[in-house]
Formats: sequence, C-alpha cells, structure tokens
Amino acid sequence: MGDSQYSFSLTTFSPSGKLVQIEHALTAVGSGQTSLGIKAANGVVIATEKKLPSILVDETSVQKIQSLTPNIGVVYSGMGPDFRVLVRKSRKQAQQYYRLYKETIPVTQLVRETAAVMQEFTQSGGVRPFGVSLLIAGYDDNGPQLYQVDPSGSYFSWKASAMGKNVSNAKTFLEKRYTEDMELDDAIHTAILTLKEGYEGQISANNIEIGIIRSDREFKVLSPAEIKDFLEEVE
Amino acid sequence: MDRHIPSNLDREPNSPSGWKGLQPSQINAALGVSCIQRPVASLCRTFLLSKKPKLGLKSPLRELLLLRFSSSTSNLDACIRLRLRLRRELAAAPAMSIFEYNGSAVVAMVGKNCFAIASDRRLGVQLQTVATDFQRVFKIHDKLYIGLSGLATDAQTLYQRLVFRHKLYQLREERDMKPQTFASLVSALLYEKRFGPYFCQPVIAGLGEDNEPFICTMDCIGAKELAKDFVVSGTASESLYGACESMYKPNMEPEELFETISQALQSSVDRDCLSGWGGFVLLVTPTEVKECVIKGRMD
Amino acid sequence: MAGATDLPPKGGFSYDNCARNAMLVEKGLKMPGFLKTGTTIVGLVFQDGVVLGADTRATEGPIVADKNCEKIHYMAPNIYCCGAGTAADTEAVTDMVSSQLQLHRYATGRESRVVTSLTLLKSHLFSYQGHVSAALVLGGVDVTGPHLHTVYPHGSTDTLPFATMGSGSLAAMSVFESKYKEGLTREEGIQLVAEAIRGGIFNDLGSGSNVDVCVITKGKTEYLRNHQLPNPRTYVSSKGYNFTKGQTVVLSTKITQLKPKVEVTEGDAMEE
Repeated sequence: MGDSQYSFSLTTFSPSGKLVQIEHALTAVGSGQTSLGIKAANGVVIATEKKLPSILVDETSVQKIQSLTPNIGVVYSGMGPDFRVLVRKSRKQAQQYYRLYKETIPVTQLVRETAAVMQEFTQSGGVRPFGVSLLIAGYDDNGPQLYQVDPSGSYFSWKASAMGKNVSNAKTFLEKRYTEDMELDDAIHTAILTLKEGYEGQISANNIEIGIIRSDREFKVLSPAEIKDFLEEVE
Repeated sequence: MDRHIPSNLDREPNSPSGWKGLQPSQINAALGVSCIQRPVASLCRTFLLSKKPKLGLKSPLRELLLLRFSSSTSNLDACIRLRLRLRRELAAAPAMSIFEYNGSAVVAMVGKNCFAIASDRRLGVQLQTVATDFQRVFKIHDKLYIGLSGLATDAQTLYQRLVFRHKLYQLREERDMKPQTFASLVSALLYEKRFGPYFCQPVIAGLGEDNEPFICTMDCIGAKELAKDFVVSGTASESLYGACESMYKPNMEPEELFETISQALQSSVDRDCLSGWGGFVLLVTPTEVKECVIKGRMD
Repeated sequence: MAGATDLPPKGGFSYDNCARNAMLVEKGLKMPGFLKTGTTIVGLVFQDGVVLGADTRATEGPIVADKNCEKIHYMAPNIYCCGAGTAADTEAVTDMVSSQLQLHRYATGRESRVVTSLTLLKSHLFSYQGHVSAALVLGGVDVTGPHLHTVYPHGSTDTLPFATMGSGSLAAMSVFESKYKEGLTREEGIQLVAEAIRGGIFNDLGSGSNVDVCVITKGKTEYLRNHQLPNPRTYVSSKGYNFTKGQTVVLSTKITQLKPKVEVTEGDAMEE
C-alpha cells in the first residue's frame, strides 16, 4: 500500500487483546446467507442459499459457487464483492502454481495461499479485512477435502461445516446427521435438508446452489434441473 | 589447438602506424592476452626465456608470441602482419563454446523399475585438468538426482538454488517432489534467465510414483526433452548419443544397466579430450541406491 | 535475487547473468546454441474445422536432440498451436498464453476465441521485438467458426486458409499450393496435412521422424499423436550388446538402503 498518512493498519488491538475489526468481519459473515459443506467418503458437496434482495433480480445472473481450478470449488458467506476479489486472487495463484510445476495445485496449498491473502489484509496498512468466510471443496491425491477459511486467515479442515445465518442450528443438525462412511448422494440430501431447516420460506431449485466434486475430480455446480431432482428425492 | 584462441585477438588498432612508439607491454595489452590464453602465453614465455628457443615454429600464434616476448619493438611490422594472418585463420576456426570450458559428460538410462545416472569426473580449465574427482551428479532426494553438465560455476549455483527450492517445497507440502514436477521447476528456473542463461545442460533422473523411472534433459534455457530410453549431455554428448543408441536395450535389470551405462560412458569420454578421468555411476532401484566410482583412462 | 531472498519468481525474465555472460563473450567465448525445432509445421481449414500438423524432430545444431518431440501445443480445449523456432520459447509462450486463456474463461464463463489467443501471443512477441523466437501456426474453432493464423517471432500475424512455418515451410507449402482446395472433407484434410509434413520430413534437414496431427471441429478436438511413422528404426540388433557382469573396473562402491516412507498422520489445522 501507499505511503499516505492513512497507510497504517486499520486492524489494531483493543486493550483487551482483541482485534475488533476481525470480530466485526465475523459479524458480517454471521449475518450473511447460510452456506454449508459436507465431506463424504467419495466426494464433497458445498451448498448455499441464494436469497435475492428483490424478486425483480434475475436469479440466473447470480453465481455464488465458483470453481477455482477444475478440481476445486468455493462458496462464501458474507460480502459478495469481497468474495470476487478472493476468487480472482486464488485462481491466479492456482495458475501460477501450475505454470511453475506443471501440476495442479493441491487443495491444501490453495487454501493456504488464500488464507495468507486474508491474513495479509488483517495486518496491512490502508486495507480492511475481508467480510467473508469461505468453504473450499476439492479432490486431489489426498482424497476429498473440505476447508473453511475465516476473515482472520485461520483455516480448518472439516468433515462438515456451516456458516452464515443460522450457523449454530445448521451445525447441530449436521452433527446429528453426519456419519463417517456417508456417500456423496446422502451428503447432498443432508445438505439440502440442513438448508431447508433454516430457510425462511420455501426452498426451490432456483434459490439454492449446490456444488459437488466426486472422485472424477471435476468440480461441478449443479443446474437448477439437477437440484430439482435432488429436491424431489428429499421430499 | 587453434580453436582455443580467443577471438579478441581480432581487435585492431586504427592503423598500423598506431603501433609505433608503444611499449611491448602496451602492445601485449592491445593484442589482448586474455585470461583464457594466459596459461598458453606464460608457457611460451618460459619456453622463450629458456636458453635455446627452438626456432622455425610455423604456427602464427607461436610466432606472434615469440615476437611479443622478444621485447623488440622493431619487429612491429612483422607482428602486425602475423596478426592479420592469425585473424584470417581465426575467422575460419570456430571460437570455443562456454560449455567446453570445463568439459563434462553426463548420461542417464532407464532400466526395469530402475534408472542409472552417470558422469565423468574431470574438471578442466580448457585443456588443463584441474581436478579428477569433480561431482556433477547431485541428489535432490532419495529417488531423484540431477546431473549438471556445462560451466562448473553455473552448475553449482544452479544446484544450490534447486536444493533451496526443493527444501522449501518439502516444508510447505510435506512431500518429496515428483521427478516430472522437479523437471518443470528446473525448466522454469532456466527459462527465467532466457536472455542471460546459466551455461548448464541438466539431466534429471528419478523414480516417480509406483517406482516408474523418469529421465529427461533440457537445453540451457529450459526446453524439456523427455525420453523413454536414455538422455545425454555435455561435451561428450555426440559420442554418448552414438554409444547409447547402440548399447541401450529396453527393460534391463539393474546389474546389466550398470554395465551398459558404464561402458557407454567410458567409450564416449575416450573420444572426447575435455571429459573423462574416471567416472561416477549412480544406480537407483526402489530399495537401494548404489554409487560407484569407476576406473577410466587418465589421459 | 540471491541467497535468503531467493523466492519463487513473480514472473518475467531475470537479467542477472547478462553482464557476466557479455563479459565471457568479450573474452572470446562463444554463446551456446539453444535447442531448436528446425521444424515443419502446417495448418489448413477444411469444411468443418481446422487441421494442424507437425513433424517431431528437435535439433541442436546438426545433432538430432529428440527424435519424437511434441510441437503441437495445447492453448484451450478448442485451440491448439504449432511451434517452430527456439524450443524453450515456443513452449513458454504457448504455456503462458494458455494460462491467461484459462483465467479469461473463468472470468467470462465462455469458450476462448482464437483471436483472443492470437492477440495475447502477438502482443507478447512484439514486446520482445523478436528476441523471443517463436514462429507459430495457431488454429482453432470458436463461436465465430474455424480460424487459422500464423504468428511471426516479431509479432506480425496472418490469417490464412492454409499455412506453413519453420525450415520445412517451403516444402510443405509446395504441397498445399498444388493440392489445397476449398471445402475439403475431414479425411482429405488430414491426408493433405500429413503429405505436407512428409514433404518437410523428407526434404528439409531440420525436420524429421513422425507426423503429428490435430483435428479441431466444433465441440471436438482430436490429437493424433504420431499419426504416421514414416521413419521407423530398422537397424536394431535382436540380441543387442551384452556386457558380462563385472567388466567395468569399480574403484569404490557405496550402497544406501532406502527405507519405506513412514506416514505421519495428524491434524493439519492451525490454532485460532
């Protein structure tokens, strides 16, 4: 960042040892729309609700789940614009890795790089932390993986996790439903049920998004038609 | 011998008269005794200062040196004439390549679930041998090795940078690099210096996943060349191509591979003045690494 | 960039060694030659797509360095590019552009266009004023139909129905000039490309070995690696050389047993 008189870090310690900016960022995440992810035995599913501010918005133009590489996908809770910045940086990082090693970036490495960017924004001058938490789903030589990255830059590997509005309810629900040997199709059902549980209103194929990755290592965002099939199975 | 004369002898004073009134030392400087030919020059000086300098030396270089060290400024015209003659002959003779400065031979071969990488042991400065235990094959990890032919200083620098990068990778990713990945890294490091290259031609050999052998070489700016059988590099590469092309067989067992690569290396370096002086052979199987120093001609 | 600050490159070239190397040249040493792909590369447009072709010889001076190298590079699923010139340059420039195209596809969510890759290639090459010596034949099929271009090392480009490049371009062009016509079928297209490449293989010393072909049509790409092998090795002795064990005089031996890697499993999450 520049040398202007404002190039000091906005994230400073409070006397009690807290970084209030990061807490505020987490609050922004907590009031964001619910997202969740489940790691199954043979793949990973990430899902989110897609509530739009008005029925007049064209819902097909909003894409909350994005691919970072062919075998890694990501979803967020919190601020959409911040998410786009992170996605752009992560994709670039993944390409840089590929150009150096001619090998696709492992999920752990991409998570680490993304988390490093988020950490940097808690310590640099003239910037604020990202108002998003990410769920990163991927499949590589180490099998299916699910990571959550928070605004502070800390990251964890999860069997199943949720974030955004209704986190605690969703997490309790997942804790009850989760089993180690769960297959991906079961995981998708569980994901839909968890979303449904906390959803204000009726969920449909158009107001949720689901991304899956199986052992074929192709991350795919399900189309409304595919989501509809799963919704019918759940009911 | 002529091909080792540096081409900066070509540099000409503006006119022959420009030579007059110069001290012999200044003429020497103008003629350009570069660091490369200095050993030759000092040899000649010793020779000329000995009691009976053998006259009738026909080589223009020797005559030139003779004139140069005779401290006689009256020979200037002869000196200039000789210099021009030298220049003509030099124009025909190719200048020396930087790759030939130290001399080297590196070869890698694939066997059945194993590979071997071998190099010569000479370190020379042009035609003078400086060391006969020089290491050109380096370990990256237990099942991955790199041989660096070419300019020794660049080989060692590049090796250090590669070790650094590999250790960093190991710490970050908690795993060893696959040979293919490592080859891409070497290629990227070399291409970064596209317009000011390291004068090294690497040979990479390793056992990958499921102990699949991998070998590859590249030029000094990182153009990868993958092969299923053998790869060669160094000043003896031409003869190594020939020897390997006829001696190599697919699916050799470790013992046979060892003999084949050793013989290919020996017969090749015997046809190259700049490499040889014994050999170093490294044989890697999934369970063990065998490093051998082999005997070779010492001339 | 040295020592502890030796970090992964951020991209771009490093000129660290240039002064030293110039000094060496000054001292009379010769700069080395690089691996070149002497090369015949061609491409043509047929009735529903593009066919690209290349020989597979790489040379270093008069030496054949690689008898079966790959000169048709991936740019995008619907775009491929043949490279002639300095091998490292063709490889690097196509890799770099294909990476940029990938990011562009992520950003736009659409298939890459051939002109996009053409523009990226030429602007890179032009900025290096011909010092990045890559001569390319670029072909692909996108939303606007089939396209074929040639790119010269200095950054100039052509748009053509049939094109040749490399040291064997004259031989290949003679085949195209006499036999190319509009509306070729897929089979005719592949045949003509293979014939042009064979023209290069047999008449140009810089080209040799096998014929690689790549056929790109709407929604489908076929990479026919070693489509033809007109120069098989015929002189392999069935027995080969046999060396009896222990023929090589070994002065010293060091044997290291390799232990199987121990897997350490533990959580990799970090503390908050």
